[in-house]
Amino acid sequence: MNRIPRRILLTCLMLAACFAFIFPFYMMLMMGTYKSETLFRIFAVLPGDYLLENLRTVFARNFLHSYWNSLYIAVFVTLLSSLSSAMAGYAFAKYDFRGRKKLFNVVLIMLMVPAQLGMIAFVWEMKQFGWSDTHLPLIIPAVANSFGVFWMRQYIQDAVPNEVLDAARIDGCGEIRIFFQIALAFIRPALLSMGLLFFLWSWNDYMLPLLVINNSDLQTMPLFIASLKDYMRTDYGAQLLGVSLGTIPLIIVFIFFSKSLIKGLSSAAVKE
Amino acid sequence: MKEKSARNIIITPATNSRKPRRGNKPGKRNRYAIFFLAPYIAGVLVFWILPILFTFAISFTKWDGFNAMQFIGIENYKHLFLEDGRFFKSLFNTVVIMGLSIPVTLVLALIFAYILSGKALYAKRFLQLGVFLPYIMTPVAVGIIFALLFDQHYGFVNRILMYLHIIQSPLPWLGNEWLARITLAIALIWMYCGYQMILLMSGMSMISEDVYDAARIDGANTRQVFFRITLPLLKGVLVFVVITSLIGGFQLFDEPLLLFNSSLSGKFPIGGPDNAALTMSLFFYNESYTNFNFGYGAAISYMMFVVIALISFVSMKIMDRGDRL
Repeated sequence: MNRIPRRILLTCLMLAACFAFIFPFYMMLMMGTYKSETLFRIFAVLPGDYLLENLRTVFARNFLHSYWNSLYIAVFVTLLSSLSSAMAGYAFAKYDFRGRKKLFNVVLIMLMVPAQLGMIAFVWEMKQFGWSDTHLPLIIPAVANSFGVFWMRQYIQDAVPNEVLDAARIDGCGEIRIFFQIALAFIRPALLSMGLLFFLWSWNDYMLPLLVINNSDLQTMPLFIASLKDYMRTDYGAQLLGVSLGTIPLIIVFIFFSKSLIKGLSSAAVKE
Repeated sequence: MKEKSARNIIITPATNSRKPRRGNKPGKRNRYAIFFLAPYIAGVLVFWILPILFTFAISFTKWDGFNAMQFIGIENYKHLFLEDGRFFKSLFNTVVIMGLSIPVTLVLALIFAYILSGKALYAKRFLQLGVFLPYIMTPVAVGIIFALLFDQHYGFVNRILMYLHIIQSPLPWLGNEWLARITLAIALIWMYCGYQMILLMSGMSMISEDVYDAARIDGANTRQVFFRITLPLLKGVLVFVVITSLIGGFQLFDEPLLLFNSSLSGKFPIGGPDNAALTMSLFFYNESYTNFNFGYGAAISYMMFVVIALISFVSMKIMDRGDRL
């Protein structure tokens, strides 16, 4: 069989599939440039002329504010989750302490627990802590990321050689310094891809902020996007422009990191 | 999960003639584990175990969050199973929506992964990224966009189908019980296909080229190679993909909520027409935070967990046993 036509055929096939996956994004972008009345009369496949008006409508709201909220929350969540997961994963992978197996089973069970299970009491607990209408309920619980622990343990087992740790011990290096100065260096690539995922999940989370944030000054990006329809009732052009502005910048950033992100996702599945 | 702990028992190096200065004896050293585990354990206790236990207690009460709790025994569970049809309906809906979306997603993802893993392709990275992109999208935004695209009167989908004369009158995508579920399934397929494709591709990349060569020498054709070699060797990844999809599917929340909330042609109730897209998670949310019936909500969340645990357990068993897929 001649190779080139086959290659072109498969590429075209995938291009068509790709088109189907990118199309809703494209429509979102295009529809944001139209006046609502025109939007539903024509096929909005080409850019419209109402972009500036829509921009004005969207920026009348505290749009940038929710951007900033989501950004700093996601950064803290990523740092907290990555550090605590790496530490716990390291303990599971490299120390032989009593009850290790039992404790690790707890991690595995936690992986199956739906976030909704403790939600009612969690929200109440946050109120008791005096954390309601702050961002703390979204940030601090990130220290307990069972998925991260599970993943880090798998990774550290193979990626951090025991010989190196032992050599450091012989040279009199303390256990804590060994972790921060030696082990962390070995797991840096995994930390990057895992951190990207944590960032993404934190940024996109909707249910938890919905339950613990009532103050519109504190709202995160998904809350902002969801609330667009409440004050732009019939202004669908502006509403979609808001959705685009709320999602596209992050997507562009992630396209640059997509290699690491994809590597991170796949290492979770392949190691299993 | 295979325990590979044997290789982790730290062997004191034979060359250890010098007296160690600190933290070097295995027994003493292992105490440091508690230091490394402390943040995680504290977090799990405070933010997971404690609320989970407390929620269990709440599930035996009647509580609106303001007035005093009232112990009512197993009333909530009784109501859930015997009187309130919505619980089984939401379980049914969740299963149906997953039944519509997961197999299609998986098959598409397998095909894409197989094509993209092969050498016969141009612009591989671009194509891979294109299919993967929806996974990065905020689920809330997905709900809004699909609500507009699938709107009965103004939506792009109906208008293009009418324009091409595929349908005569606009379909009530969000207004009809089954069409609503299908629309939601389409949104989910769109979102998660790329994610599954990435996982499957990485699984495929782990299969050694030698196995394929050996098969070809034995005269296997492309189809035989795929079904007899690629698929069976992908089993581990497939199990992972299916189980994570199931666990995720049972927690489906943002997309159905926004999909039926953002419709142009009038607002649908939470859960869509006739509660057709009332997922378990939505049911839980609605009872707890719209009706402020926390005791009942707690009972629902416990039943959700039981279902998820059962399904993960059963699917793990089934996938483990099946030698052929």
